[in-house]
Amino acid sequence: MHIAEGVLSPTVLGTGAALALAGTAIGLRRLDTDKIMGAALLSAAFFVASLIHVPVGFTSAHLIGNGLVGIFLGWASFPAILAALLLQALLFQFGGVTVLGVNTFTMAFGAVLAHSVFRTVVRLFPGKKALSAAAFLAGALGVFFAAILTALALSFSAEGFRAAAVALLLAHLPIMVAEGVITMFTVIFIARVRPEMLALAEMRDKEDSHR
Amino acid sequence: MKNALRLLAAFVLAAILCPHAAWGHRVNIFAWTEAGTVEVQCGFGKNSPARNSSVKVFDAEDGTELASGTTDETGRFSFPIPQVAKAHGLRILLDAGEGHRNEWKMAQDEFSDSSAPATSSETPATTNSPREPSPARGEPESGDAQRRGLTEARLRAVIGQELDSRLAPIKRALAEQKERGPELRDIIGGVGWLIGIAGIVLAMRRKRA
Repeated sequence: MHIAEGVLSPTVLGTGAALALAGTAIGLRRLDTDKIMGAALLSAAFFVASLIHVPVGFTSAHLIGNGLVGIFLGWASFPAILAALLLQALLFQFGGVTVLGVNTFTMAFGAVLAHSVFRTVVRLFPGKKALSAAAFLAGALGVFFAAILTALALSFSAEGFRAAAVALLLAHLPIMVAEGVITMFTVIFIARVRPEMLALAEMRDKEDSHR
Repeated sequence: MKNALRLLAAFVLAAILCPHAAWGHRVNIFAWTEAGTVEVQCGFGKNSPARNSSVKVFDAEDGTELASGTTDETGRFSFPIPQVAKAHGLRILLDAGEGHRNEWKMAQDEFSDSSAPATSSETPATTNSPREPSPARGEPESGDAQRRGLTEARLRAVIGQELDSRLAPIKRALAEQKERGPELRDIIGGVGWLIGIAGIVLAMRRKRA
């Protein structure tokens, strides 16, 4: 999902950078001080996830992990993913420094959308099964949204939106399933041992006060 | 946070355990000369060639397009060495679609004369002429010198060809060496950086509070 250097036009790069900056500002404001270390560890998990290759079919796809980051961090996914992508660009030559804004926006906004899907499902259907389903959905949709946004960025440059979107989604189909499963098991585990990390209680309280 | 740490540890372990696939998202390109052609190899890592990807060859100085085509089933593409390569060098651009792009530069000195294909139309008689040090190399008049010159040219071509075929695997190995994936050092370094950045942010916020 990392777009390389020299693919996009300056306009798209500039727009991506502006959007990423705005998202990062929102994310930093919403990030509680006592959640910073947790965010850093999730950022590190995102940083490493892209080295894990899913050997299905002939594609070159790897894990992304933005849905998982999104569930825990919401808007704070922006600074977490920005930092991880910067280090991936510098140390692994994935993506690039000039494309950093666009890549951050596609993956972090995908994370934010996955977060709202997760919260909505959990709020509507309380219960353990719904929690698993919500986690699977968020993990898979994080990748899905990132693919759609990446295709959108590419469509302004060379390839048409449809062609790019179809190719990206096909290549990431196995990744979406893998991310969904990983996210589901992680969330189930954390809901059992440290539910406050998911802020489930807070969601339920809100729900109770509505009644 | 302990769980986030556990998750991270699991991911690091998984990344270390599959080093062959450790570089998913970057497309690699390398090129080397072989008997009058330039061979280009494109792939996403070991055992994953970039098939049917567009390759374009440009003059490295003035940017004119010299050749173009698509890679075959093994991620290979080859083209004859263009005339201007010796003077200007080449820039080879690979576009594997979906935002995957990379380029490879070849400097002028990679295209020495010996890489040109040997011309076989030379007179066979000259191959038997005795080899002797030629102090009169610069003089074009004598037929002797001319004959020696031809011998030398032929000899150069033969040696060049032979060297090319022997050196091609080495050139290729060197090119591949340049494109290695992330190592454990990079992974650990990156994780350390992220935690360090968080520490700085924490310290700054604490000061402000």
